[in-house]
Amino acid sequence: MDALQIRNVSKSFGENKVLSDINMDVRKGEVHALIGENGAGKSTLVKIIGGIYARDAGEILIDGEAVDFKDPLQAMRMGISIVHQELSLVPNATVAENIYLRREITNKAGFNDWNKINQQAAEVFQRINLDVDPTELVGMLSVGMQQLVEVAKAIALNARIVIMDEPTSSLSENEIPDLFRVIRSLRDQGISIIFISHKLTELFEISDRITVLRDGEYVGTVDTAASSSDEIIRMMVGRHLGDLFPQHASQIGDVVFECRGLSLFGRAKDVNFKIRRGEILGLSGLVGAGRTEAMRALVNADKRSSGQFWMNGEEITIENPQDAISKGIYYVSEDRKSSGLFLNSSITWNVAMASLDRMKKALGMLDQSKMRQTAEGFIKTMDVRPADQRVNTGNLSGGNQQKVLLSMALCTEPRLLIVDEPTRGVDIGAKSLIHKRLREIAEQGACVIVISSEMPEIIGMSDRILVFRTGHVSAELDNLRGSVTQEEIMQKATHN
Amino acid sequence: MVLVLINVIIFAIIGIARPTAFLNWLNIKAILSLMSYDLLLAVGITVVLILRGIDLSIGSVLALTSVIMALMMRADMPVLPSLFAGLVLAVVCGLLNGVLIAKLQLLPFLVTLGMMSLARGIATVMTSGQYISFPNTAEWFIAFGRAEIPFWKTETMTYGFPVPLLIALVVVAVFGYFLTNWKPMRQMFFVGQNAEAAKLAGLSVVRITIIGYVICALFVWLASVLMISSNRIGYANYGIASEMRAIAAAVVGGASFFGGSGSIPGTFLGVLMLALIGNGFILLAGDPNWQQATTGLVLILAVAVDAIRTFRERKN
Repeated sequence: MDALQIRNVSKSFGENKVLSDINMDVRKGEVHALIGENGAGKSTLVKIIGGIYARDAGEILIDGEAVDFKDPLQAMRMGISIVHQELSLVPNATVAENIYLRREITNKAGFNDWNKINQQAAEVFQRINLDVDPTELVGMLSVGMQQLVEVAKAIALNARIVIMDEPTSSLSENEIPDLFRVIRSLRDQGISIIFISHKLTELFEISDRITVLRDGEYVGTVDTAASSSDEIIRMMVGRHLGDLFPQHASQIGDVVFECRGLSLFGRAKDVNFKIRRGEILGLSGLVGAGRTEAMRALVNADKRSSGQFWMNGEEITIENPQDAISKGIYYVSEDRKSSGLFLNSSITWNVAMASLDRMKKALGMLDQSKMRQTAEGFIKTMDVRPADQRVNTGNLSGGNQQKVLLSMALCTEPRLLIVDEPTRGVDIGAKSLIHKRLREIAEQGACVIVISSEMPEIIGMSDRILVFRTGHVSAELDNLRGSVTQEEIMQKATHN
Repeated sequence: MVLVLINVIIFAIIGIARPTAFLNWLNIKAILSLMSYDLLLAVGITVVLILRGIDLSIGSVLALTSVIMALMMRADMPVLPSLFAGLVLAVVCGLLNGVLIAKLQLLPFLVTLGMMSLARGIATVMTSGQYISFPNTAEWFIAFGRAEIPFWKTETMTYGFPVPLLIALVVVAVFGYFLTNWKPMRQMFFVGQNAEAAKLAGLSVVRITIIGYVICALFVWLASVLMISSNRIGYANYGIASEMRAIAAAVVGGASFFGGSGSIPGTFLGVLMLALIGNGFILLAGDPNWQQATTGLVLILAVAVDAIRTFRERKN
C-alpha cells in the first residue's frame, strides 16, 4: 500500500490553470523527488497535499484512505508535515521549546514541565541520529541546523510523510551531508519523504524515485537508479510549441556597456559581461541564482559590495537608481505591483514618474499637459487598454500594467534597458507586443538585458545568453541564430 | 464633498440649538482664530502622513520654539533674529526626525515620540514651567498677532478679519498649490505610496522624506510665531495634545496612515470640523473638556474609515 496517492488532481487560480490531472504515488519509506522548472506547479501541489490550498478536482489517498483536508492542521494530524523554505522557528526560544511549541507538556499546576520537554526533544534527536542540545537557543544555530530542528519538529508530530521544499537551497556544502543522513534515517524508519530541489546531482544522490512536472502537468515518474540526468532534463523542458518571437538582431554594433567584478554580498559573485549596441542579452538560470540580485546591485538599488562599469569606453560610477537613470541605465522590477507601479495613481503619473525632470514648466512646476500627451503617446504605441490616461494602474489587467511599467522606463529613453521578467503573468497578446517592442528598442540602437525564468522567452528573445548558477555566471552562450537549446541552458544552470 | 456637508450639518445643528451664542461674529472669530494654529500644524502633519510617516513632536516643538523666541526677546534681542533662531531650532528638530527616519530607517512613531518628550522637557527646564513674557519687544510684533483687517462697519461694531488667520490661510493655500504642482513636492505622494517603486524610478526617497519632516517643522515654527505674537508669552505647555487634533484633522481630510494620500483642502475641512465640534461642546454642554474626548473619538473613527478604504483598494 502506498503511503500517499494523488489521483487526477487539478487546480486553477481564476482562469489560470496551474495543475491539471496530476498523478503521483509515494511509497512507504522512500525518498521521492519532485522536480520541474519554475512555475511547473511543484509548490502548488505541495500546498494541496499539506491542506493549505483546496484542490478543484481529483483525490488524495493516505494509506489507501481518501482524505479531504480543510486546513493545514488536519493534514498535520494525518501525519503530513511540510518543511518550508522559510523556516517557521522562534529564534529566541530553545530547540526543545520550538519542537513542542503550542503542544507544551505541563505539570499538574499547568506550568511547562521543562525537564520533560527537554528529555522528549532529546529522544527525538536520538531517533534521527542527530547531536543537538535541546536547551540551545534556535537563533544560535546555523541555518542548516535550524532546518534539521524543523525536521525534528515534524518527527515529534509523528509525521509519516515529510515534504521538504528546497531544503538545500540555504545550506552550505558541508551541511548537506547532515541533512541527507537524517533523511536516510527517517526513510529507514518507514517515513516517506517528498524532496523538492532544482539540483539534479542532489536528487540522484538522495532519491529513490523522481517525478517530473511541467507546466502544471504530470510528465512521468522514473526510478532514480535506472535514469540519467539527461533523461530528467529532457522530461523537464519537453518540447514547447514554438511561440512566435521577433527576429534576432539584424546588426550588432560596438560594446556600449561593460560590467566587471559585480558582487552583492552573499547573493552575486564576480559577475562580468559586455553588451553591444542593438543587442538583447538574456539572463537565464533558476530562481535565486542571482540574476535579479546582480541587476539590482548594478543600479545600486541594493548596495553592491564591488563592481566597475564602462559606458562607451568611459568608466562611470552608478550611485543609486536615480544616478543610473541619469546615465541612461534603467532597471525595471520583476514585481510590477510591489516595486514597479504606483497602483493608486493614473497611467499618466506612472508613465511620467521617472522622467519628471523633462516635464517641467517655469519655476519647476509640473507641465501636466505635457505629461498627459506623453502618456497618450505611450498608450497608443503600447496599445494600453483601456486607452484612458486617467485610469489608475491598479485597475488595469496584468498585461496592461506591464505595458505601463515598460512605458515608465522607455519614457526616460534609456541606452541600457534592464527588464526583469517582462512578461510574467501576462496574456499572450501583451506578451508578444512587449517582445516586439523590446526588439524595436534594440534595433533603434539601445542595449537590452532580459531576465526571464521562461526558457522559450530567453531563447526566443536573446542574441546572447548568460546562465547564472549560485550567484555567478556559469556560462555564456551565443544565440544569434537561436541555436541554443533548453537542455543546454538547464545543464549549465543545474550542474557544477 | 462629504466633508463640506458634514461641516454644514454641524454648523446648522449648533446654529439652531444656540443661535445667539454661536451665530455672532465674536464667537465665529474666536473659532477661526484658534483654528489658524491647528490648521498650520495639521498641514504639516499632512505632509508627513503623505510620506507614510507621522510626527508626534509638533506640539512640543511648538512649545520649545515659542520658549526660545520669547526668551530671546525678553533678553532684549531684536524681533527678527529671535524669530530666526526659532526657525533654525525648528529646522534642526525636523532634520533630526527626518534623518533618523529616512537614513537610519527608524520607526517614525518612535523617533517623533522621543522628540516629543525631548523638546517638551528642554522647554520646561529652560523656563521652570513659567510663562515667558517679553514686555520690551518692538510694538509691531505684539500688535500684529491681534490685528484685524476691518471689512465691514456698522454703528455698534466693526467686523474685522484676524491677521494671523489671514497669514495662515494664505501660506496654506500657496503651499497647497505647490504640493500638487511643484515637482519636488508632488513626488512626496509617490514616495509615500510605494517607496521601493519610487526608488527604482529614480526618486531621491531619502532626501524627499527628510525634506517632508523639515517642511512639517516649518509649519510648526510659523504657528509658534503667530501664537507668541497673539498671546504675548512663550510657554512650555503650549500645544499639548495638538498633535492629536492635527492628525485627526488630516486623516478626516483624506490623509492615510498607509501613505500616498492627503490634500490641503481636505485637511482644512477637517480642522474646521474639529473646531466647530469643539465650539459646539462648549456652547451646548458647557464643559470644554469634552473637546479632547471628541477629538479622540473623531480620530478613531477616521482611522477606521481609512483602514476600511485602504483594505478595499488592496483587494482590487
